[in-house]
Amino acid sequence: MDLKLVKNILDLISDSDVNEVSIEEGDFKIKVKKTSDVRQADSPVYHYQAPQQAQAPPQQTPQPATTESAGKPAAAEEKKETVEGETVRSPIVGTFYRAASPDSDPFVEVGDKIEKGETLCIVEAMKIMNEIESEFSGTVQKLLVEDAQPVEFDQPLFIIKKD
Amino acid sequence: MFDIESFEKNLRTQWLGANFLYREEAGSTNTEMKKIRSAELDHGTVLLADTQLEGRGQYDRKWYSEPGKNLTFTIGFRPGSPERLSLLTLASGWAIIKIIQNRFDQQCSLQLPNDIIISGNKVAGILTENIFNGVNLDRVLIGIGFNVNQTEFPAEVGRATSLQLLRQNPVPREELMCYLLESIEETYQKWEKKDPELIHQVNRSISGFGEWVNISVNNRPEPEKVKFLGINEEGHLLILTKEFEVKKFTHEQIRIQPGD
Repeated sequence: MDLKLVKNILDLISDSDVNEVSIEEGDFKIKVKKTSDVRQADSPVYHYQAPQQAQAPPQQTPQPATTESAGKPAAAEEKKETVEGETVRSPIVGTFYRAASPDSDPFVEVGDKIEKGETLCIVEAMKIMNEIESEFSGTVQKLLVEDAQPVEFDQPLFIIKKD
Repeated sequence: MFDIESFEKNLRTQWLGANFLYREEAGSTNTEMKKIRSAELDHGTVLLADTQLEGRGQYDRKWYSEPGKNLTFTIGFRPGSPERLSLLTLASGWAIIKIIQNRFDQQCSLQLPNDIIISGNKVAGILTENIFNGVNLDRVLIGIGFNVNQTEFPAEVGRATSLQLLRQNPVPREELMCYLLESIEETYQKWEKKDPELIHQVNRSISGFGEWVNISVNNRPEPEKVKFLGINEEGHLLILTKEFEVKKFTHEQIRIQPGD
């Protein structure tokens, strides 16, 4: 199923005076309805059924337009962009790993307090494991690379707020 | 038991192994070495375990080692710059090859990425781990597992051999350890000085060098044979395709299929 299609339907209904849309195509069935709740008047709610694609719905959840975030969307955006802290960059080209092996826990998660010298990740190159330790103590604010993704030299990997 | 006294008495290195740590048993010598804090690790520290219980090889494969029969050790280097780091592992492999050939008269070669083989059988393996503090290289741990006097290998380790199997005689591990450290020290100095001769020597020892071979890149076999041109001074791998294009690999995992 095409996520874009769903998004288009959601956008369409949210911008129009139509309150409800149902589409059926073989196995695929989607019904989109605006709530009557005044506080969420701009927020389309969707009911979605597609038995073979049970994993898909969470990704399509429209941004919840609660009164709070709808009231000041600009501020919310800004907050997202400026994560405070130091950027930890990759010292080499290679493949980024968040854990020592596929079945072990990641070295760090967002929100973790870390000590100076603590291992943050591994960048593997030519079968050589390069462990990256933190230069300072702090709190992990953001992960910038997914596990097992290729990384370039100097590519930002984490944002860590210094203690 | 590894005779530390006899080893230390015969060691003729300038700095490598001057700080020698011995463990009767260790999970893996690399892991044991990692427990030493950065501030306390001298350049050239060697940690040897008489018995390594959970040696790790490529792909985290277990490196099976019979108690007291082999050499399992890790060298800690503090090179400062991460330049040409991938070359250091290969250079260490070449240092080991030199000893096997010169002292034990066995033809052997380096099988990428990190095995030493004699007639298709693995005799030694290297596992390198570099530790960066932020973007600065802090320490390099080169773990070496060398089959010395082990004569039986379980089927799951694949094709393996040992010096004793090849020579029909046990080899004193202390003496071999001295040879290896002397050779690795000499090679390290060449690496540090960027000696161009080292590249030639390393290349000549890699199996498939200068030949049309089948390779796999990150475990995906290339459809056509390529000519393996060896490594360059930066430690990158070069190949020539049938279309006469030169390709360079900087970090990919390249394996050269045993020749046919």
